[in-house]
Amino acid sequence: MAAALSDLRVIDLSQEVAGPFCARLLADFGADVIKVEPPGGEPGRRLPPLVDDGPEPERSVYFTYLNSNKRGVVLDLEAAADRERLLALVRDADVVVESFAPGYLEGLGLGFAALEATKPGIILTSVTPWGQTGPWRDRPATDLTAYALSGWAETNRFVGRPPLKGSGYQASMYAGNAAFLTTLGAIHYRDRHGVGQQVDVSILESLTEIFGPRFLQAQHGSETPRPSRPDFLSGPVPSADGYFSMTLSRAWFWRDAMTVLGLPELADADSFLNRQSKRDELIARAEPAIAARPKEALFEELAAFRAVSGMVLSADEAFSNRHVRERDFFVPIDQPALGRVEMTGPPFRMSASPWALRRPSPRLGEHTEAVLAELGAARA
Amino acid sequence: VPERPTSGNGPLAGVRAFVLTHAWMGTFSTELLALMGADVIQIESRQRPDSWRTHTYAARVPEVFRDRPEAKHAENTNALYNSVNLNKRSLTLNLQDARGLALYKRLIPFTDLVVENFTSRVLGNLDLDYNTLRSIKPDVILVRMAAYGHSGPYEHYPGIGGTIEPMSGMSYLHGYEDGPPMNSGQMYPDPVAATYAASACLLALRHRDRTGEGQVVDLSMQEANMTMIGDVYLDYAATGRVRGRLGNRHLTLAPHNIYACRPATGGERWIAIAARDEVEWQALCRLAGHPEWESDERFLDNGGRKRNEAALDVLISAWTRDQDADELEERLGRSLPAARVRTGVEIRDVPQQVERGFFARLTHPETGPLDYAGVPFRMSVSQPEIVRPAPLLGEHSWEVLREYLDMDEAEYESLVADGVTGMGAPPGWDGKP
Repeated sequence: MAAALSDLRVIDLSQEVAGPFCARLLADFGADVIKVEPPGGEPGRRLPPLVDDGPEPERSVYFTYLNSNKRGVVLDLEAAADRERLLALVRDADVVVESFAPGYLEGLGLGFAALEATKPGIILTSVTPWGQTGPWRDRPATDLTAYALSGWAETNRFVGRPPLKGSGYQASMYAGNAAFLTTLGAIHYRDRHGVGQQVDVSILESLTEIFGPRFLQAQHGSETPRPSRPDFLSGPVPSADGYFSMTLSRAWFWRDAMTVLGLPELADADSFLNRQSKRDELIARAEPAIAARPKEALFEELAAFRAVSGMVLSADEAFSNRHVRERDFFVPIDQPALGRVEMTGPPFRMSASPWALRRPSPRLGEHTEAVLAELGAARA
Repeated sequence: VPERPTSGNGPLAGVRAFVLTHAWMGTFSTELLALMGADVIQIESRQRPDSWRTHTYAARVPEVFRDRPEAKHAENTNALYNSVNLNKRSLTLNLQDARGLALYKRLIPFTDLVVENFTSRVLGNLDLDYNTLRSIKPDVILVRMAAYGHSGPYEHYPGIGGTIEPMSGMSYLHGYEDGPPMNSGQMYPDPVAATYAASACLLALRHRDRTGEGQVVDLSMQEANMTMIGDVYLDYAATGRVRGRLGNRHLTLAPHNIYACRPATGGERWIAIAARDEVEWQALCRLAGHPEWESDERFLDNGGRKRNEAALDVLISAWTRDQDADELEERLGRSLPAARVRTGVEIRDVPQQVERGFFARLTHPETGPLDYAGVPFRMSVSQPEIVRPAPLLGEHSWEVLREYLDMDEAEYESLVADGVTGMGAPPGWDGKP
């Protein structure tokens, strides 16, 4: 079975999180992705978490995750001879992914016009905090500012506590995911029409796009107010051995959940329909019942009634979750920097053109000579 | 066979999809296809409207529309549905009625894609599983989304964003440093899985175009979201470390937080501030008017600032407390990451978003002109357009059945009378939930 992108080559000039995740996904579905880094490595090689041992550029767990399935080449784009080598790589490529400050590549003579002159039909995907245009395009930014400006920080909070960002680099991860989709759109267009183009993905716009429902609710005056403390109607609450979440969006979920919790007097539809007005009373009755139960037993019991619930799983718990294991989701691989590990598997499973984890993350410059020789761009 | 229609100039112009999606994960995935120019016709039910339209036809129209006589129907005035179904057409078919099912099967030869997010057994119960679809159209692409995918012990367990967030490991990471695990303020796992599903559609289309072969895609919302925190799983696999919650802080950088500013009309004001290197830190000290922070021996380098982050945050908070948040954003924003926290409708006033024309003002037939999150990317050649707001329930039923199946008016009217297709609440609906 051929992967969907097995005929494509991607040059990944991108750094840190969003662009590398986009290029990783292209690699996962079969593209030959060549990651091009500056001497010393891209900044993503220092992203935490790090492992304790090993040479400095090889210690980032995050980098390893984002760059598996790629080959690694070192080129100094500030040097003319290496810029020529890059163009030689582009001559055999279909897509270039980059995340530099807007105008940086152009300044090096490597803007879209130059790439397109080298390889007609090339697609250049740029993934940056603000996008390629607009008055703030040169401002410094992080995921934190994207959360602040997109509305997500405000909606994530508890009342009385500060607005709250998502964990880790989730804004950048989502933008990388969206950039993957957009790049596939450009590939589709090129397949049909033979024309390449520039794709401009902004991390802020990506995150704001998925704030869309709450944004329209605000204009409809139908926003749900945020709670001031955790409660079982809006998020995880304590179980006997951790935390547990119910989202009882339908009357029959409510009835079955209250029955399972041993609260038949709350099981009638009126309690459900009046839950906003009786909120405090319902919480006071239901939460002790949840707190008395181990989360997995409660989850299984509710599932038997087809009532919606979820266990809060930590990384170690989800790693050994029986459903995920039964589906063979985690995939073993030898990562030179980390040893034999298991990594998360496919985001979706395609019956005819499947995802595959084919190679570990490259050591700095690991494939420089091989790739340049293969592409006829060997150093003079 | 009708001419392949296009909606706008997007890269997917010419792609056609009669989809069975609903709620956020499903409809957002096919909205992304529609925003890219595919002709997406969403099959809906008058008997059981999308939960993002309404749970009951008796629900009230939002108060804000009380002066708009056009705003008549709960199912057409829900912000949730209307935000994630741009560029689509709506065809109602009662798939539990033999006539409705037969009509859908007659449409399958015209479709490139079938996309669905029912619980796992529904498609088979409707007699629309992959083998059935393939017997009608051999190269059909079926993209299936479910909470836990389409195999394994939880296959038939129900789940939604609010329970997949905990089951994927995300909730455990999300929250204040001193607080419990939390869910995000909207069901973040939905749009994550939706975006992946749209990519699955494009990959499968490409495979079909190269080989002539269709396929079926199995998307588990749980697994899709686990890949978004794959670094956390890899860290556990490699080192045994279990990541916890950091609030607004960063694993290694400081300062990195959201600080209270002087309250203004309308309430609280907050500003996000981070310094990622010495240049940004020195700029912060200078622009804050606190040069003594820079020479404070606790804060001489990032390592020192991280070790003394609590003390540093006390100092920064004491300073921001009396500052105007907008003025501060303007003063700091060119030199270091600094942005005022926006609420609800305020997000449309961010100059960067305004200048790039990200938000789109669309006139919906019932709710009137409002602002929508627009196309979240720019393409230099095939930039898509938003050509229509979310459809009314069944708005395009007649149009689509005529266009594709040459249905005559008498047949259509008899199907409408039986609730097989048509618009709005079905005949005989008694007004109760």
